[in-house]
Amino acid sequence: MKKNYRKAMERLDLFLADTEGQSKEAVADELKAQGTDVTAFLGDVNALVRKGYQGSLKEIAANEREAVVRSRKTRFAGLAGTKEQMLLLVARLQRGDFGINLRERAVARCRNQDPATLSEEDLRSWLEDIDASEASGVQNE
Amino acid sequence: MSEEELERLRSLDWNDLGLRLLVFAKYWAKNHYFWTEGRPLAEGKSPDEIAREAISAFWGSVRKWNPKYDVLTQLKGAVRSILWNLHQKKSSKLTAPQPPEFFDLYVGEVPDAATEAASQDYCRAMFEALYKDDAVRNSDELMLIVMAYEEGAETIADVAEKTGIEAARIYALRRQLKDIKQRVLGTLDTKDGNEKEL
Repeated sequence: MKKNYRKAMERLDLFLADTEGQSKEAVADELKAQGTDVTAFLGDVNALVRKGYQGSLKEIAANEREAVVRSRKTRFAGLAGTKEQMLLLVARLQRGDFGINLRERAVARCRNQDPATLSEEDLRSWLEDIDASEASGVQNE
Repeated sequence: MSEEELERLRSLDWNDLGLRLLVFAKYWAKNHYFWTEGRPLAEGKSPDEIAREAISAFWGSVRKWNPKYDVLTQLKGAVRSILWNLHQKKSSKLTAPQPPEFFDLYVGEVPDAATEAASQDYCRAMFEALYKDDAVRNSDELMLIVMAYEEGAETIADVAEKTGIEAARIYALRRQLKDIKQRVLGTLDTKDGNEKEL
């Protein structure tokens, strides 16, 4: 088989550029001998790590908050695409299929209003309100 | 990425990682971009800055980090990438003896046939020059290590198996071989009539 000299040289270079088998102190000494200000360099590295960590932490928290908001908004989204589906969903809510809290809220909401007379948009907003009211109710409990 | 994974990353020994990365950056800059101590790379940058940029880029995209890959390996990849990109956009007064694609195929760029052939020739000449170096010629161990890489060794375990030399001894000989490679690089470059002007 024909030798791949380029690949072979790359691997040799990776070996020569590596520091495995050397202690951290030995590596630092090597750099100091070459004139590197190791203390300053490490100060910069630690500042970058701190900044990167804090930024990532904020990003994770923001994403988690967004996911919670999204899940609240979309809890019924898959179950109620059309007005007929939404009316069926209201009936299921009133029956208690989604728990007693939601049933009570749905019944209270329907006391003075017939859901069938609502527009599709109002009905969707109505369902979202019921959903959100339970989420805030759970948080307050 | 979860908060626990992030915490685990933060708790790594970044002093250790940073120092090892800087050694790597210096070596790569010297051997692939003909950088010398005390002189700047393209755009006036130094290997220290390249290493810091790699760490910054790593943390900037940390959420995409795949925990199954070693952090230092990824940082080294970033250093290579930054150096290559820097070389790509370097100003006309900066010249390098060989185009970066001689070595840097890792970036996914496939060179044309002529470049690939020239790259193979250059690397073969480098191996030949290493064998001719007095220090290598007079050391069975160094000769065996160079041969092991020429024969396709990829890891220290491969080298140990091919040469019969223990890993600890291979690491000890690395320092010597590193200096030899640097010397040979200069010789080969001069022979080719290339200017090292960085």
